[in-house]
Amino acid sequence: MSTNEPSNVTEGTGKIGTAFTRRTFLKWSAALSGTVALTGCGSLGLKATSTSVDLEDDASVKIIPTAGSNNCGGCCVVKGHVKDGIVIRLSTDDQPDEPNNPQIRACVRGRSYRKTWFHPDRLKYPMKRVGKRGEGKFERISWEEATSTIASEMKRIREKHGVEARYANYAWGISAQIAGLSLAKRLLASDGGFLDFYQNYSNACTNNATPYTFGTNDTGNSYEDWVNSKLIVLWGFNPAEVVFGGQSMYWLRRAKDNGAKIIVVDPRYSDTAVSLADQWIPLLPTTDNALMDAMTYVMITENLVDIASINRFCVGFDEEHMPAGVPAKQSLKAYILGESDGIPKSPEWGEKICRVPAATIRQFARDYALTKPAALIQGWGPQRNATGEQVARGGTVLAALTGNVGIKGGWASGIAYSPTHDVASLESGTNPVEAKIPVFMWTDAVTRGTEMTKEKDGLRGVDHLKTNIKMILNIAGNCLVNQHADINKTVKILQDESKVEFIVVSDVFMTPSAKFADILLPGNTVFERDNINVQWAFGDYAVFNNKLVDPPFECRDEYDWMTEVAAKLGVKEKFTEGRTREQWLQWIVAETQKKNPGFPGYEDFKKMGIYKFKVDKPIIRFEKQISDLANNPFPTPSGKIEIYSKRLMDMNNPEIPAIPKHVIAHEGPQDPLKAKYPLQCMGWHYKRRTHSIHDNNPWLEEVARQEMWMNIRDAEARGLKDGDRVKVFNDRGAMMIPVKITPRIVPGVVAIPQGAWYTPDDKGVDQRGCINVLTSQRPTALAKGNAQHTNLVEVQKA
Amino acid sequence: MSEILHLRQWVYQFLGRSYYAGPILEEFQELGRSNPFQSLAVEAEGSQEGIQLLINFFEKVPSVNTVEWKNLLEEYQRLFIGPLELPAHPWESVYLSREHIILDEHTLAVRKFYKQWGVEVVRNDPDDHVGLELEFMAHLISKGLEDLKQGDLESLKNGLLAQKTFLNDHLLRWVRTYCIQLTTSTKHPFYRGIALFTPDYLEADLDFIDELLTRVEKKHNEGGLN
Repeated sequence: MSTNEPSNVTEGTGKIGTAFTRRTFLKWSAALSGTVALTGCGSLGLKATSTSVDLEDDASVKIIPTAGSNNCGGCCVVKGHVKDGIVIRLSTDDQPDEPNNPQIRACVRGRSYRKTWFHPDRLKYPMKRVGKRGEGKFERISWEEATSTIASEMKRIREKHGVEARYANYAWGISAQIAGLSLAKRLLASDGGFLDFYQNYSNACTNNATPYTFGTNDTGNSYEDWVNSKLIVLWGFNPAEVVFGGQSMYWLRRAKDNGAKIIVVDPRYSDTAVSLADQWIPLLPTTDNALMDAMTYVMITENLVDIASINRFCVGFDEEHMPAGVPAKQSLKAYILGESDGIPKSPEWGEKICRVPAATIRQFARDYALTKPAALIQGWGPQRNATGEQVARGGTVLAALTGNVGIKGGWASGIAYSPTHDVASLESGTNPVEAKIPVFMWTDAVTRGTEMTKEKDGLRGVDHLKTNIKMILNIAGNCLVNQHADINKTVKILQDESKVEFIVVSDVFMTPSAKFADILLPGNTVFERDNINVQWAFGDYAVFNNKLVDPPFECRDEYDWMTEVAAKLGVKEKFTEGRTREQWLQWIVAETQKKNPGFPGYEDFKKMGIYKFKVDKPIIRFEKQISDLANNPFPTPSGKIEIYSKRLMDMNNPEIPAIPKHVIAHEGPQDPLKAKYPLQCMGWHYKRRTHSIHDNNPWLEEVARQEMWMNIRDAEARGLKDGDRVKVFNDRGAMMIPVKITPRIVPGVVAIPQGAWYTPDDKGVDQRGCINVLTSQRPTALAKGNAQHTNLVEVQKA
Repeated sequence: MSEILHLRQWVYQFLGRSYYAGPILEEFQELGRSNPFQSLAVEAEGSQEGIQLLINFFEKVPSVNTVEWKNLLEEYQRLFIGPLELPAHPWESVYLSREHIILDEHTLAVRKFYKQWGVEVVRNDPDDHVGLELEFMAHLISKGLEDLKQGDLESLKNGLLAQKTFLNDHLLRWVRTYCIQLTTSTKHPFYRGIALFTPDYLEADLDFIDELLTRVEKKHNEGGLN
């Protein structure tokens, strides 16, 4: 009989084949008995058990509180119902839901954690690369071999290139007080040091630019104060999808119920706009400052603002209130009225750039200037643009002009960190290397690190790097490939094994980044380790992420295997300081208790799962400065709000003007490249993912599939129908993605939700819709930040 | 009866091991020499493709070269270890649970069944791996062999009933679906062979357990085994 004969098991139908009969079996056993020794197959996976079975075990279900810990702004409550070491279901916050103490309930992501974290395709065993880097060929190895290889490579690279060649890549898949990234840095620091970075991929521009106005990044009131606002402007802020502090949407809803008018400024009619907005003002990405400038023009020319008051608190509004040594006609007013460049920044001027009708600009300016108090709250999306620093500073200046700084119901704008309570964390330890690179420029530090400078590349701590990056630890993060800009460029850099010589990745899944590991390690999930976490920016609570179950297979906690690596390098004491993971958590609680009387002890906190800090009254940032400036100056060189920053002037860079203003963005709507690539392409944080996490969860794909938004007008011009699979491309790369044709996006702009997993076909065309095949590694002017929303593309029917 | 139980135990152990662990050269060479599937071929009326694949495969094992052996190991890693997506997931809960995940109440039910019969999983793996479930059947049969030796018909019968229940409640509910997926995912004769053979064998074994139960009943009524 040939093996080519068709089987009588019909594949794919589940039809039962004829099988063999009792007679067959009897004959087989007779034939075999005596002739063949059936040996060599003893038991393998099972052993005798000592524990007895509890037949009535339904009572043994324990409900254990944990919470999100993967860089979602909410870290909302998730409760695991655990039976015999298995999470049989999840629930969320079931404490009383009170007006001033709302529940911290999980969203679709938190509720589908089981589906994500117990996915059958989790990484299960340590691996070493056997093919070319990035090819995806691995061979299973033991943990012993993995930790030995890591230790010997750390040593080899330290000896060959110096400690500065070793880098821990930005990674917040474990975003908590014991974070994978901090542990990686700690391991490198214990063994002599590493090249560090500063800033992040979230808010580099705002983070960097805000202090030029206010001298600090703590510019937010607590969100409980939003109920005191009469007008709230959500400028590129979409907390309906990016859970931003556990309760942003709740407090915005409360404000709206309280009578506040809500205006959303966004190229997209976002989910937040759908649920809250009285008015949606769409504009083109990178033109926010044209709108802001035109609003300022209206405020000045219509006398809507209190100029005496502005001049009391600010520097640089008009010619009479400039810092010493600044030439004439450099004030904000001179710029706005066109005295410096002959162009009045009128609503008609603004309309041509940002596409908001002049009449709307006028009305918007009047509303914001005259409705008191008003909160202009900026999200971090607008500043992830080529001119992100201008957007950030522009918001702060509008808040200052309208007298909304330091008052109840106002909002100073800027990054808007609220001075939340200080919860301790396990730090990376002392790093003898002083050099730091801007985080977004790590690929530059791989290819031309030694050529980077302070002035051009934002290097800090040193004038030059001694070496390029030669080794990367990437712990629970997808910025190695997927979330960094210009994937095709990044991939080429990483494929060259002479550049980065050794890459370690620990993760839960085979992400696009994990494919580029030399040593690939199976990590544990939030359910499989104890941790402590706090939410983003505002919202004042801490959560205890209780371990629910043991990690399956050979998945391991990073602290555990890194301790082993440290031991092999002879620096175990330095790495652990004699503490186990649990002892570090106890240390974190003890340190936090010192700073926050009333914070519960370790065991109590663990049992409670969440601790909400008692807030007597909402924090009003800069209240003291506004009520008594003489005794409470702003922490700026002038002691005032700096509309005009002499520090920025001294940089003498036209892309970083001393006053915030509209700057023409490369790959913005005024770039000549638009003739070739006529559409602006932006990203956004999608409700179905936390950055790139959960992309492989099919339930969440049902909630919101990966698709590109396009205005009906642009679709008609290209003959596209809703749902068509289209090709999106520019000089950097191409992807295939279904198109959603909608009036919910401004014409001329397409939007692709960020975080989809890069899935190239054999020609390198991404099949999943990862926006970073289109984005650029060109950093922003001041912060050297990521401008991943600034891209020009063309779209074609596939 | 002992011969039959021995054969059944061997088949389950062989299958269990094939799914749960990577191939070991010495064991495969031994099987290559004895090629136990050879004598099944002439008798099997169905399932011939799977059996034939296994016969041909084991015939060639004694002369296997390094490349072929490496291919087999790589195929095992691709189908059962990762790190890339497994083309067919070898855990019961992935097929039967509401969320299609690993480590679910189905896993617990299997764990409980194992414990009731005195065993537990050695490693930190989900209990309902196809290889472990098959190995558990072998474990039940080995208990039966012990019962047979002791002449404990009551216990033998209970063991057979447990095998029947375990097949009905677990293996037969999902293994065919899994094996169809596995068959379509591999061209390797060994894994294709066991994937085609396993579900048919399980179906047949269910009938066979009934036959054995009838025999045990009969013996019992006759007052013991002879």
